[in-house]
Amino acid sequence: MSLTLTLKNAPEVPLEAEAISPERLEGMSASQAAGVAVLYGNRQAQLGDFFGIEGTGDGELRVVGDCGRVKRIGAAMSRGRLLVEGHAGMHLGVGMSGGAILVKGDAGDSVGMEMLGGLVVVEGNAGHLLGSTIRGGRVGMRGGEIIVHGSVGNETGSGMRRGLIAVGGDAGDFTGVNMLAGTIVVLGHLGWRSGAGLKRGSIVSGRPAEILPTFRYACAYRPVMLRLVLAHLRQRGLPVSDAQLRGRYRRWSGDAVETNRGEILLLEQ
Amino acid sequence: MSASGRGISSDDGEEPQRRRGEGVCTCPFCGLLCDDITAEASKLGVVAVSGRACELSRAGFSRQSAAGLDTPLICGQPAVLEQAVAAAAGILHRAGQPLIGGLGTDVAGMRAALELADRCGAVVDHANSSAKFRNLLAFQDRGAITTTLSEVRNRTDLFVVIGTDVASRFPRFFERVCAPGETLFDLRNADRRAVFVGAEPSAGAPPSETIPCARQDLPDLLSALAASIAGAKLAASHAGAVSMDRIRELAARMSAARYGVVAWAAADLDFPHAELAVQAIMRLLITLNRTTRFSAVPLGGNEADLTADAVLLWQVGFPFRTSFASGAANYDPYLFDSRRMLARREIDAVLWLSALSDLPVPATSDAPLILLAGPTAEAARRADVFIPVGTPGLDHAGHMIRTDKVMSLRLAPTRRPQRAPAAQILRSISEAMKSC
Repeated sequence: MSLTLTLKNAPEVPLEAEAISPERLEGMSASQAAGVAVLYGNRQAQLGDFFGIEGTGDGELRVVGDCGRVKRIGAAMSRGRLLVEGHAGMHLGVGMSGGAILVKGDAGDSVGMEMLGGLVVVEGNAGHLLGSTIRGGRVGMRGGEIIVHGSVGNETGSGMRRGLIAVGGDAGDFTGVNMLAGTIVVLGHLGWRSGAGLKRGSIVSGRPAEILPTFRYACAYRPVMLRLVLAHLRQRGLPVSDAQLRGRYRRWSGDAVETNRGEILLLEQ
Repeated sequence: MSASGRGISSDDGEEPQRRRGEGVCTCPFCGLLCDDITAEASKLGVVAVSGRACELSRAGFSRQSAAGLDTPLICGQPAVLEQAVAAAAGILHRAGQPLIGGLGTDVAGMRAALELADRCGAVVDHANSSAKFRNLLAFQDRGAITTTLSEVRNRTDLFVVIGTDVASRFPRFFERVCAPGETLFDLRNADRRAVFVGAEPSAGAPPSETIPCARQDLPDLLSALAASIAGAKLAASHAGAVSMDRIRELAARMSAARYGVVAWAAADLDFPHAELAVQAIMRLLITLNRTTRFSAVPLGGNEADLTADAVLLWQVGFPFRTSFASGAANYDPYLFDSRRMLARREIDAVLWLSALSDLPVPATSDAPLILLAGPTAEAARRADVFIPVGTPGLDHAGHMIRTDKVMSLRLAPTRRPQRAPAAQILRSISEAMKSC
């Protein structure tokens, strides 16, 4: 049976638990996993102080409970499967390069920050800075997929270089800010100032949106690439409508303050 | 050391304190740190400033030298200093995620605050950090081209002021940079000009024009301005409700300047995603500097925010929102945003330091509060521990960093000390933690 961590003592201050990763706990028994060090506020603690642990680490990990204050779950993971049956805290999957994370509840800010590969699926909502870069870093997400069935906050895909971000609900402000390349699909509404600083890359929305004055309208058409992407997202479980799949999209080129090679695609209403 | 302050040594032991009855002093109450103020202390220790002192200076000296609480309190009850220090040390020792905030203090006070933060594994964040990060986030992403007040004074022929009433926060800014008797390169004051974008002209500014723009629309206008300066042809007729013709005119004026500056106060850019406006400013400066000279003058330093930032940078290499919880300095502007942490109840003890004014103490819910502040601090009686501390440049000597971040100005005391320096109190708390 794979390893199951069940939250028994909710942390009062944030718990930094990058140890909660399939490969870090791989091969460990429950008692060994319980002794793994975590940072609790300004003190060293052990995983077993907060979680009841059963099973054996075999590359699959199950975390049960409201882990909204448990940060860095799945950080830097490169393989394995991680299921969170509840909420997950900030920095879920930061820097991951492989494997898959599924969160049945909500996730905090900075999901998949500077991610290199792998798959993150959040069935609820996620916070700000999804798939973004760390401040001062030039490049954010470089590969992989992040799928959020609910809504997300601000600065989704900030500095994104490659990969796919898909949001079933709405996105906050600054979606794709300083984006270098890659694709962001938001089936709901985009917030303010999407695409600010966009160099290349595609930002897609199924709703009308306010466009920055530094973008220029290009045309309306049916992009072949987009149909493939949306079909893929439909298979991933997002509610892509037939109108979104087959419809025409109005294209804006920008950002003129950068290289002007990016695009915003809005479904023609 | 007594609570009344007798027998207090100077903040760092370098120089014995001396009383200054009359004479020139340095004002610590805004980032300009004007060092040509005349101060006089009454027999009761109330300090009045005159001469070139502005309204902020007069109010600051009057407020911080007013009579008030000069005794430490524990849960609102008078206590001796040693008890209060021990109580504060106990709170921090027990805390799992403490915050050391406010940080309105001088260089020595900030150094002691960091020493304490390191000892108790605290998060460090300044009261002004929400404003400061409007600049810092953009600077971290894009870099910055800034200049000094001396360069502005000697060279600037065009000021472009963004969304800021300069005179309300830095009353003597234009007086000090635009009205010198002579300049190094024979620039005449009559030749200086200013453009105020999204703000009214400030008192003392050179002949000015105004481009009205709502502050929340500044990012759009500045992005369009940056694109115009770069030669891009935009299809939009307006940006930020300003016509593109007007924006292009401004772009042409800026390109024709010999040494321009863009000035703003981040505290005034109080709208969502203001860092985009700052990022746009940095973009247009990069383009302008290909053909002329143009620099940023991000006005700040009030409540010693630049002082705190400078000390952090040279000690750990990071700005505010740095945590010492792991034993090393760990910076994250979102994770360690103290307002966010307090709102989500992730902080279980707060030490709030406010030696220059009465910085509003954030709501701490049920986290114990240690307050190091002046005698008229509003939260003194509800704090778990209150210890009155002196004001640098009033009660004790010290150093602060000026708004252009290249000058560290020395502050001398202007009256006989009535309260201990914050640095001394913080070190006492650090020392007391050793025996917890």
